[in-house]
Amino acid sequence: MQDEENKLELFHELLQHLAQGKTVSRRLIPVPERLEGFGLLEFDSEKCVACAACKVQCPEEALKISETKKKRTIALDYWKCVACGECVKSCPKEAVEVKKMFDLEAFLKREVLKCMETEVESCLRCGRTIAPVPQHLEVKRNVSELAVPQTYLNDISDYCEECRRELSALTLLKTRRKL
Amino acid sequence: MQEKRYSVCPFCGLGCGFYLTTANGELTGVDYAMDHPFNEGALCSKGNTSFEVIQRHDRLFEPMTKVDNDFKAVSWADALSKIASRLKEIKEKYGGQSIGIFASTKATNEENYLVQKFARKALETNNVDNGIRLCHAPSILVLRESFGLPYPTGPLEDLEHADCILIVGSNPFENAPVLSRRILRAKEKGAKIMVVDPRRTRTSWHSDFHLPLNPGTDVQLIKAFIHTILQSKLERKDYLRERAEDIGNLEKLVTDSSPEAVPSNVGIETDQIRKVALTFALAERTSIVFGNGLTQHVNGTEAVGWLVNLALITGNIGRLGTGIFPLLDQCNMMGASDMGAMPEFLPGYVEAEHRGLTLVEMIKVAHSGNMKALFIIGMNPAASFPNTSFVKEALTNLDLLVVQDIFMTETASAADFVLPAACWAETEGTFTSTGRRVQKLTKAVEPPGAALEGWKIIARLAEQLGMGELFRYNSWEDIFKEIVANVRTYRGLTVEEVSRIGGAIIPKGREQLYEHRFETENGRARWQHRTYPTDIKRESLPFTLITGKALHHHGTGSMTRRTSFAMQETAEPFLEISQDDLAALNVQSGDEVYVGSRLGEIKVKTKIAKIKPKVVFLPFHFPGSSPNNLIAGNLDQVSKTPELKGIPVSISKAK
Amino acid sequence: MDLDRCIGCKSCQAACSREHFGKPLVFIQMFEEHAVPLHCQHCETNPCIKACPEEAIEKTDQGIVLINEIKCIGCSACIIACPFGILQLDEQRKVVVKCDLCKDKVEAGEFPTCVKTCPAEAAKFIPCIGCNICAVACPFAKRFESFPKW
Repeated sequence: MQDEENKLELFHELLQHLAQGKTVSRRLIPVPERLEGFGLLEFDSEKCVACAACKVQCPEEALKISETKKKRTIALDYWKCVACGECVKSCPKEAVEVKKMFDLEAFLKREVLKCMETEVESCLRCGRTIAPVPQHLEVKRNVSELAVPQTYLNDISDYCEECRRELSALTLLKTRRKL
Repeated sequence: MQEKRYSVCPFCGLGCGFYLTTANGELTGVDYAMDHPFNEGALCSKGNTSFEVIQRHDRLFEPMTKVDNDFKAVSWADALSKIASRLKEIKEKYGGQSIGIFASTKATNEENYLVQKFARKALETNNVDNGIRLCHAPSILVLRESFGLPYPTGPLEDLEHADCILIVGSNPFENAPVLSRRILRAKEKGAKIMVVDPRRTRTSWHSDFHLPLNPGTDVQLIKAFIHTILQSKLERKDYLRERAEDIGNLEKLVTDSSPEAVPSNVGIETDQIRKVALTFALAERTSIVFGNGLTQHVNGTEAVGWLVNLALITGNIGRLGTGIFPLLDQCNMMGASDMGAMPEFLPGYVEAEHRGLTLVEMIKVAHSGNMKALFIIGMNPAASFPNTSFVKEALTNLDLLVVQDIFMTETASAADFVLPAACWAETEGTFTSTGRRVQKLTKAVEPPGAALEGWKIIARLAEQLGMGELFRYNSWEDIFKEIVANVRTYRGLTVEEVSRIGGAIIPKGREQLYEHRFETENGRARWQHRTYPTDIKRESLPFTLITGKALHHHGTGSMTRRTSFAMQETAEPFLEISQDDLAALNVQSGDEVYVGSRLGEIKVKTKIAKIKPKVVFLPFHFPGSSPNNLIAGNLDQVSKTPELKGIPVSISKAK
Repeated sequence: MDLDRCIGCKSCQAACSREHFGKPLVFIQMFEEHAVPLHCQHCETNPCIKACPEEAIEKTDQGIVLINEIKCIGCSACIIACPFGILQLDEQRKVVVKCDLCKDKVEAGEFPTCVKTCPAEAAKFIPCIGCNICAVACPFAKRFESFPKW
């Protein structure tokens, strides 16, 4: 019921704005505070490390990650977003905000909006992605405070978790003189 | 409130104990029986997921009858009275020999005891047999002949005290993983492990000697061992003088099988054969473990015989850490046979006067039209028997087919009547493991819908046939008491003993058999002289197919294909083939091939493996790509066990 | 983990996944003819704890390293930090998971599930005997203290 009411309300607001020429642009429409379920995500690219916690926590599967060998892209399937704010709550860098704006064009065209793009670290052994570069740098910085050997830092820079498992297992076998 | 009920694993024959956990009548999982004398809590992946099979939505839950090619639900009263009247009709018209019963190696001792009683008293037939026929009939026949009892000669736990373990045609580390515990303990103390198997398996990874012989040449190999032992004068003369019959012409029977003469046939080098034979004979305590790789050949009985000779000649029966151990691979295969669900034996291996037909023989007679009715309990011949299309035709030929099971199987779908049974967790009764442990199952949950405990079904059917007074039992205990009174090796057992964790080993008080005498008439062991003709005609096709089990799976897969872990790990069959053979066929590992024999063809994915050249391996848990479609199943003349391994096939690349 | 004993039967995985929401928390690395079980080592030095931006990983008094699933946001920083690569993202449950040494059972005086079930006695729960093998294998080249470990 609330859903239906919300949609009607928005429709009403939308038409009012169009009629009164109050649109900020042809695309973005301000959304009244009291209206839930509509909004627009804004990613601060200085703060975001592309860890994708937002994508993991999103209850609507609206946030998507696409990866190539070089890049990770976080994108928003605007049609699915209900502006619930889980992504905002979960972001460890407070890099996401939900603006009270409605992107009319994106909604009508059911667009997938690009939120963030970074390069990725690739595994030397198998080529799979280890992590997005900004997140990887941060993790390295943090763990370095533990006075860890360089070999460890190299390992986590060079190898994905599957290769680390294989290499650890091989080390264990060699130590037991089984290989 | 979480509760736990002690149970015994329904899969292989080791008889591992564990607990089923329940809450509000629903199964929630599994817990471990850490003080079980055999498995000490350990449980393989099958046991760990066994509970998933029990409360599945597709369990059979009501009796059904076939009407216009479709199954219609009926009441028990209706079903049983109709079945009874049809049986009566058929018996009167064609005699008891036109009716047969397939007893289940997964049903309790109590149910099996009643099944054979029903066959003999109500139907007056000895046409009752159980799944042991397909794998270890040769084993129990030979062991009984030579030593007096059809059993593994020592307790399985004692394998950890062996100095040398020879594993022939068996892959316990994958198919009965809990046994690896005992074998590895022995190895840690310095025991030598020897594996005879055409392929590399997890069992062979841990072995000191691996003999990848050509399939079906076990007799030659074992004779070569014996030849070496006799030549090196390593036979235990004192032991043999006291404990065995005269050796007779045994030496002559192995003359042609020297380690120099056999390699071209067996595919193992002379030096290897000698080394293994000498290691075997020089060890203080040697145990032999064997399985279907040895027995499922047209000369399976001969093969087991020579293995027995090998154990005997080195004095390896009757002492701690020695013995010969057939690994029966079903939870109650031992018990079903002990209960006399066999055409040649009454309960306790008393020989029947006129032996009935064995499993495959019954199918053959059904195909020719002279078997009119079959009652198949907890067995899936339309998937597990060789020559699948022949079996399906045979079943259609019957006037009456009654199938009792827990799931709709390929066999059940051909039935006139389908009876829903309670599974192992929904009944009370006992299982006897391959280690001779009789253990009581505890009922953990109610059976689904109208499904009934097996022993109750047969008792009611007997009543319908006018045999009520002979089948008047109030509980499993009543039947158990009758078993204890009538089955020699179960004498003296009490309900309290079998209800403990680990139950009781039979014969009571005799975990190690034959310590001072054998159970033969004169107390001496008998040699096995059987020699089969070596010129068996086979198709000349380029590859040899052997069959077996895949990790996590069991039997025809009707249970394990319904568990999550087994299906996550192995959802489809694979043909193991060597790298060279793949290259010669121009096939990459993972591509599909056609495997064909004169009986038909199947399509299956390949998987590169360390297996003898020109030998391929296929598991049989997946109907549709089952090797049984390709196998004719020629019978061993003595045990009537079909040949399920060593089949000539052709292989070609699939488009 | 006794590498001489592991037979690669994966019974530990079947049991572990049953006890942990259908996902096994122990890995079995298969090499040609060897099987190596791999799982959280509950290390002495914890890069995973350091990397976590939400302080969602803690260490109990007994030394068990645990992920607090309420605090965990699934950012995967710990996955990047672990030298053994034994953490996994469970997308369905929206958290990162790893071996928890069956904490509830251990605190009740029982063995972890994999130890109970292992057919080959490869999974052991024994006090440290000071053989120093861990020091050789450990990427931090540090010796473990002697609290119950495998």
